[in-house]
Amino acid sequence: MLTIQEFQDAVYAAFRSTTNTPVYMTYDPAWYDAREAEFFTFGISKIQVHSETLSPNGYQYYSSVIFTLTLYSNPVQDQAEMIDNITNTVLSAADKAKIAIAAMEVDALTYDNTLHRFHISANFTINWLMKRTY
Amino acid sequence: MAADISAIPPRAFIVTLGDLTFYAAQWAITGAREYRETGGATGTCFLTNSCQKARKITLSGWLSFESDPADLVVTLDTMMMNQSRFAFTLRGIRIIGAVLTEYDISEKAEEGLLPCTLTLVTTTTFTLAS
Repeated sequence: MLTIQEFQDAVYAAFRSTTNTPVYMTYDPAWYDAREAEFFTFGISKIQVHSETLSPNGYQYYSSVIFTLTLYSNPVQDQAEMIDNITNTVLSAADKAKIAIAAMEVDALTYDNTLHRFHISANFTINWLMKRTY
Repeated sequence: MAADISAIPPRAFIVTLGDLTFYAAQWAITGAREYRETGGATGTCFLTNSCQKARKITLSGWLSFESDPADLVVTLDTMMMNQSRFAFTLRGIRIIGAVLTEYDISEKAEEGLLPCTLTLVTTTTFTLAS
């Protein structure tokens, strides 16, 4: 049993051990221009609580979390290569963390004028059971 | 109040029927007892005969379009023809004397997965697998 923070840390650790590319948390204050030419950012985008049920010791919630992993790169790589990279990174990390990917969407490659980097995001859903004791 | 998270791991419900191993993605079991109702002279309802109906086990999963379903369909058809009886364990439930009563495999040209549903019935009481 893990807290949300511990669960996020476990998935984050799985990413860091899966890829040689640096992985930053989305709220990491490190200035983008000071970062490597290619890096990932990772964080929770959304938590959805689907239903609440009562159990003898507390409440149970069937829930899901949507994580977003974004690959930033400058200069640009081939889009197909970046899609391949981000998709394999997500699936390998999930395999390493022994969690099932319920759904995943990979966005198109875009350019961010402020960050001066091309980036592509993978939004993936993991289902979990959340328990809260009285 | 602490929130404890347990993530759903990658899993399948693996069932072995003779030489066939089926990786079910979902399952359902139905049990029912049927009662005969009879009206009395004063209009009261009496329950007379009853019986435990056969337990129905439904296993659902998918095959990929690359795999040829012919072998599977022929195997299932033979199992049904021969009324083969199977013993297997599903989520810690020991099921014995199960016969295949229905299989359903379909394919759509635009989809890459072939839904596959197997229905088995047994009159034998379930026990815990040890």
